[in-house]
Amino acid sequence: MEAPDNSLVELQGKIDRLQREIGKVIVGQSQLLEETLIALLAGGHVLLEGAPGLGKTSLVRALARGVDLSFSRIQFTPDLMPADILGTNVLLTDADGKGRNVTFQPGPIFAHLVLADEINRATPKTQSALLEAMQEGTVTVSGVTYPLERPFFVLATQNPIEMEGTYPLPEAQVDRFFFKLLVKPPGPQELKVIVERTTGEHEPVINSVLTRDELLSLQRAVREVPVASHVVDLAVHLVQATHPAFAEASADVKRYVRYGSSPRGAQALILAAKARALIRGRFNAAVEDVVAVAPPALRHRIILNFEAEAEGIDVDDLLGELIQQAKKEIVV
Amino acid sequence: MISKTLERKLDEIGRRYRRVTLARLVLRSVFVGGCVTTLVDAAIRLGWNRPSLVVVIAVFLAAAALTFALGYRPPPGRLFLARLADQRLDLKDRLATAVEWEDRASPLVTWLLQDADQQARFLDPRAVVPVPVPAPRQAFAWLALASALVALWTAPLPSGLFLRPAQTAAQGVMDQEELEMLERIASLRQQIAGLRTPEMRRLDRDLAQLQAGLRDRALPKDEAVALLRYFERRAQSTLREQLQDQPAADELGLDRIQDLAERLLVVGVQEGAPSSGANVDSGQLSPFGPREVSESDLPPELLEVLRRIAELDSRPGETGMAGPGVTNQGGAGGQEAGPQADEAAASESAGLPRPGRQGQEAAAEAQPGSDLGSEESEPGLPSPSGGSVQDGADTQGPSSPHGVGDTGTSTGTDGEYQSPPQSLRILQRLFGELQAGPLHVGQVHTSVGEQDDSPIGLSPSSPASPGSEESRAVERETVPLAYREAVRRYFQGLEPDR
Repeated sequence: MEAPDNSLVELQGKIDRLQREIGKVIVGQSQLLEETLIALLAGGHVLLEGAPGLGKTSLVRALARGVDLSFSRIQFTPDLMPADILGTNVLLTDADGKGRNVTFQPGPIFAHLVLADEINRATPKTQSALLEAMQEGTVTVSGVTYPLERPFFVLATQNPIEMEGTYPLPEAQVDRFFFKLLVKPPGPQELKVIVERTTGEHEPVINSVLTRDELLSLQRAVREVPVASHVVDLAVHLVQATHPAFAEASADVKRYVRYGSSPRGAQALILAAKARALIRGRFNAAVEDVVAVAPPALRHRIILNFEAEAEGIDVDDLLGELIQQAKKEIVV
Repeated sequence: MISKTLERKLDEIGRRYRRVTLARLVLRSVFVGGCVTTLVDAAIRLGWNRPSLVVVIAVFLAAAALTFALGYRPPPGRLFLARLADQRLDLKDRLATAVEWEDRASPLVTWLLQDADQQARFLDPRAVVPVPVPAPRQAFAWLALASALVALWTAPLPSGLFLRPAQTAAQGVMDQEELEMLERIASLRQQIAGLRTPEMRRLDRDLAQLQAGLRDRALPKDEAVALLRYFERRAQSTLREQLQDQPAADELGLDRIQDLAERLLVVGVQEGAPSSGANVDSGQLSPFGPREVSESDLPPELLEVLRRIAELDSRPGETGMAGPGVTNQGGAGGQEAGPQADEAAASESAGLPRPGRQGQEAAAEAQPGSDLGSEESEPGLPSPSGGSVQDGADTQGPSSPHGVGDTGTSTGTDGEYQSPPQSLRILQRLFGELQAGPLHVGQVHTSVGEQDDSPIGLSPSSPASPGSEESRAVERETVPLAYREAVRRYFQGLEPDR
């Protein structure tokens, strides 16, 4: 057996260090942090949903500092225009002052890490401009396409409480997010630590532990992680089980689900499972990884019907049942 | 490629897995076979009769074999074993992924194979494939099910629910036949009980087995009939041989003579069987009534023995035999009427002497029309005189004004030897219920030799009909004619049955 390359193991160690660096700012929320890193390594985008003040912006800032990436924040408002995000052509005078040229002025989307704060407050036109960039990785202005530099990672936030004056994201656009993460309020102990850290004289300093190239290497490595066939079968079965038209769908799915997950859900499951395995120091994606990443990867891809909304059915509870059923299918 | 260590460990796991699954499958097959056999047995018992052992074994083997065939799986592959080990030991699918990706070239696959090899070093096949031990609740359920099956197997269930009425009736006839066969066996065993020869012991043992087989219904009826016929032939031939080997009768005591007489009775009956053997051959034991056997029908040695017994019987002073002979004559001879009564009485005295049976017992036998007499006689059987033997209750016929037996008594009491009869009349005791039939009243004269001209036997003999007594009493009394009917009704009213 040939000696393996040690660089991958070193990179795995750096991920561990990155988690510790971010932990200096983000107290608790270890699961949120791990899932954010999974999405970052898998090259996906994250929709963060939570009440204001729970550290969503702080998380994105800390991540940008720890990975040594460019960071921009866009505060979405109803009057925000696509050009405000993507950039626009402006008439600029030459450096010698003799002539004027139309030059593309890149918008804030041209960064490695983009924080789209309160994305549901912008109009659908502006939202779609961002989401097109997220999907294609390019921006087209006045017929000219400008590629976005990789890694390109968007973290959008939305407030589930204040829905007045908002424009909820269409299902097709929500589906483009790799993960939908729920930011939960901290517990008493975590809150105490947060208060102590943020009200003192010195703010925690986050050191950059991962370069852009290393992050890209890790993103390539994630795609090479071996996955056993029964793990893929589990992901496929799980996605299939979310469809009410599926023959083996459970009674709850048939009753409460209007649309199931798209194939992007299965892709996200496997890719996230691979990233999670790498983060956890393994070289193969396991059933456990698929089960762990299923809720953030599928919860925003399942659309409940009115009856489920009326009865207060939680998507995560429904997913929990589906996961247990799917696990039984692959038991030897 | 996966490492040798992992390969070897997977092979060990595979061997252990095959052994354990095979053992479980065998146990399951046996249990299912037992369940199916018990249910089938119960169903057959309910519907018809308990199935034979061959059927039970065949059902069990078929059910077990079918369960085994349905549950059999080919030996699992390495990927399956690797997944099994991953699940049992929580190896996060390392082994399964390594087995599945072993042929691909990648740095991550290399790391994975190395990782799997390290994990395989600590693999324990017993931990991966443990011996299945049922949980307490599960074991209790299995025990309860097994107990229920045993109870169902041994429970006395009603049978014949699905038989048609005609079949049920046929089965009832068969049961009656089996009862009769049992009686024949018991009778035969009783007859050979006195003989202690090895042949007779073997025969007795065989008869006991046949008896048990009939009672348990373990033997088919045809086979039992054939066996019984064979045993009867064996007993007959053995008894004949015993008779040939007997010493002279005059050298024997009375007990021996009595024994010989009883055997003669058996031989005589069975020798005479061909004449009426249709019933026996057909498996039905018909009661042997009086039968005419000519001298030529009997073997010479039998005639000789009969002659000697008759001589002993006729010797003066042998009152122990003469007495019963008298009473027997009164009983048996009384069943006949007409000129052949003397011959019949002589044959009776020769064939049915019973030493010591005097007094009440002998008198009871001697009473014509008494309970035994009524049992021994069978209405409708042809009598030597060409008529029919009358039932004891009906002995008050016109030919015998004093009742039955008065004509036969004088023949046996004179003690004179009479020439061998032209025909022997052999009586077989008929099994029946004692004290059945009407009660007779009368007077029995048992004192032989008294100067009394009154005939020995019952005089007068009449059924103990309360009505007739009342009538006679009324007739004896001097009652005015106008009150006779009132008096009769008065006495009738006093009767306990009214």
